Amino acid sequence: MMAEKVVMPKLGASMEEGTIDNWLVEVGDKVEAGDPIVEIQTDKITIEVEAEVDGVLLKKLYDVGDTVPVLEVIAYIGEEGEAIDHLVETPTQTENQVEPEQQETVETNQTASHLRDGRKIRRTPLARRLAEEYGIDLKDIVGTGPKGRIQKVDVERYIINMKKKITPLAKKIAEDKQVDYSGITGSGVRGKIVKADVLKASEQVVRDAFQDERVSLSGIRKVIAERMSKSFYTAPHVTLFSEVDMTEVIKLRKQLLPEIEKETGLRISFNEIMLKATAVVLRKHPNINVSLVDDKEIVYHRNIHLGFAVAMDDGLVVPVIEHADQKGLATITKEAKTLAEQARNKSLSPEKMQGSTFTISNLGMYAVNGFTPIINPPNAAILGVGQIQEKVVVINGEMKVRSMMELSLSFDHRVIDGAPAARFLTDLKDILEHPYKLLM
Amino acid sequence: MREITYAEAIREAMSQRMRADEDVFIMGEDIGIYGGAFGVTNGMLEEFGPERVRITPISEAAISGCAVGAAMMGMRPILEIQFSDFVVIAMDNIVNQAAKMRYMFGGKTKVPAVVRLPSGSGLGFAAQHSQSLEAWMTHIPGLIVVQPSNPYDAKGLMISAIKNDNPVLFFEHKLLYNEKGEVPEEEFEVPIGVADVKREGTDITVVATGIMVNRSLEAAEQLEKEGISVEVIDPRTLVPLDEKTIIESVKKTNRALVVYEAVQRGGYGAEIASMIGESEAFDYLDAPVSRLGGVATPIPYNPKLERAAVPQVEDIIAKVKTIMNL
Repeated sequence: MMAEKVVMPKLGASMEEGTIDNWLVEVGDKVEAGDPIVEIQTDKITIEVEAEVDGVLLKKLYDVGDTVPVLEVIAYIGEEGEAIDHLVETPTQTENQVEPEQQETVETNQTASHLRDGRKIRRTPLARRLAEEYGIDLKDIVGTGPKGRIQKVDVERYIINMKKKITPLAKKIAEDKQVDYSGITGSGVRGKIVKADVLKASEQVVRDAFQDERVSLSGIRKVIAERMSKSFYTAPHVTLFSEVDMTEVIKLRKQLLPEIEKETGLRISFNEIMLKATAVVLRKHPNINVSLVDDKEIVYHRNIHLGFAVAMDDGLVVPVIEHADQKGLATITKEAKTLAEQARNKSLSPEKMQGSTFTISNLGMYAVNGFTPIINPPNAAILGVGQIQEKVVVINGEMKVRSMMELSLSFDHRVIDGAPAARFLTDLKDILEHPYKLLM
Repeated sequence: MREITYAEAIREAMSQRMRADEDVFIMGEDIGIYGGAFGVTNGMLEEFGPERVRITPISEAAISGCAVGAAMMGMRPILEIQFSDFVVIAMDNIVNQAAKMRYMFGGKTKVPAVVRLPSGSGLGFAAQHSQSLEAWMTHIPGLIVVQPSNPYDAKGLMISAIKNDNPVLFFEHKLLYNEKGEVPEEEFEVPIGVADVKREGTDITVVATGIMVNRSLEAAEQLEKEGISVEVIDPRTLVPLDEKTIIESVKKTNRALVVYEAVQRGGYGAEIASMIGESEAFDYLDAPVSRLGGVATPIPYNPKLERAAVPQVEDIIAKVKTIMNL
């Protein structure tokens, strides 16, 4: 085994150096892969660097308090007694001061470099020259040529593996753009990283940042997807539209607002009035308050349980107000607000989302005039509610400014025909325009 | 450009020089009505007459002696040795006289003679008519040795050889005489001492001479399909040798193979290989410089054995792969 390097980790694109905070093992200590060896302090955190291999800590290259550039070797792990002097590189920060010494080292290397285990190392003249040029000891290179001769390709492979060659310009750009060039394959001479490689890599980084996020379809999203497509592709939808004059409802709400607030502490909204009005009208239209079960049976519901769609950050739920036709506006307000709150908190219990016989989807709080809602199965119809807008309308030959609202009713034409649906919508329009009829 | 054969290219070069320079004449065995053993001088007797197309007895010693004498007296003789094998009979005149005169007389005389030498194997002429003896000539200072591998080079080098004031040994290849190639109609020179990169490549330099240039190009073509890029260099002139072109190529490719038809042992390929090893290209070598030459045997008459005696395309491919460590 050859001694393994322990390097200053690069913990983020912007990390350039780290400080040795504490050595956790001493030279000569046995370590196992995964054992913490040294604590490193960065400008943000302190982390432990773990051994990647089993072995003995052969050498520490830095003392506590030393600041070391990232990816620089800080220690060696190998077999007990293994010689590592030939591997130990002079720390970069003292490079200039030790030049004469380095010269000597090179010479020593040269005299010994033609021998491995006391035998001459076979190498081509080109391999020898390249190794010399790069200051590489031929002893470290495995020859793949005839008779194990070291050839150019062997030296090149060694150079590419040992150190990333990078041009000064490319290095500067990499640093400026905070591109980690350790993984870049150089296209220059002998795998040297050139400007173009860094630019390409930095484009890749930018591209990665703008990559589409991919999330698997699961959870509530999957349920919605399945239910919506099943409804949309099995139930033949027809949507009817009707514009309703809400002026009277607005007046009614104004009057009810303080009363209900006094009783419940909650402010009644149009949504609750829509629920109440729909429930009351549904009572008169039992052929709308139906379900198709297993494509075999039409169920005419005796009870009116109204579902109303509540948007969440990541989905949509439909809590249910049971017996909505029998409840007063204060109760409906209270229940609707509580259910909506629970839905948004994700604390809504599943039974509160079951058993609806008809559903209202209200987008009136948005700048939406009207839309074609998708039926919430097993319901046979759904009411879409748009925003209330002041409009000029003609009443008895006179132009008046009224508060108008679009209703849309989608129904499943397998079980509901156009005329009964139209009658239901007409009655609903009528009751909203004459809200005193709610008392009837 | 129009295409002519190697033989026609040589004839055209000689004829054009003879029309331009009345000192130029040809001599040799059966070169008149018969047109020479390989038809190179066909029709020249009719155009230039027996004074300038001199048919000689079967005596290479006599022809070569006459040529050297005529050249020293100011003529520019071109002599045809019917088969290059017979040059050994003319050796004294070529080696001891032609090569030496200009030096021994301090430049007061010169020997501007061209000796045409149809050489090589492949036509079933057996041991005495199939040799490649150029290495003998390259050993002698004072002789220029050229070895064209295609019609263009043959014409250009022949013009240069005739104009040159030194004795030029002009090695032609019998198998190439009918090879066609593009050759300009007008007179032109291929300079003596300038190699030609016949094919560019990056993985290995093959220095080939004579017909081996053609075989190496064929080998290179096939090797390219296997992803090996071969550079083929034709020195064209063995003496003087264009060392620079070869060295630069080897520095680029890091590998060198020298291919020649002559017996490998003691052949001129060894000279080229040594030159590379001693040059600055040494430090660029990533494999030993290798030679691929003929087997050390008299050329056999049996066609299969004759073929086996000299490098063929498949031999070159195999050798290149060995050097490439494949």
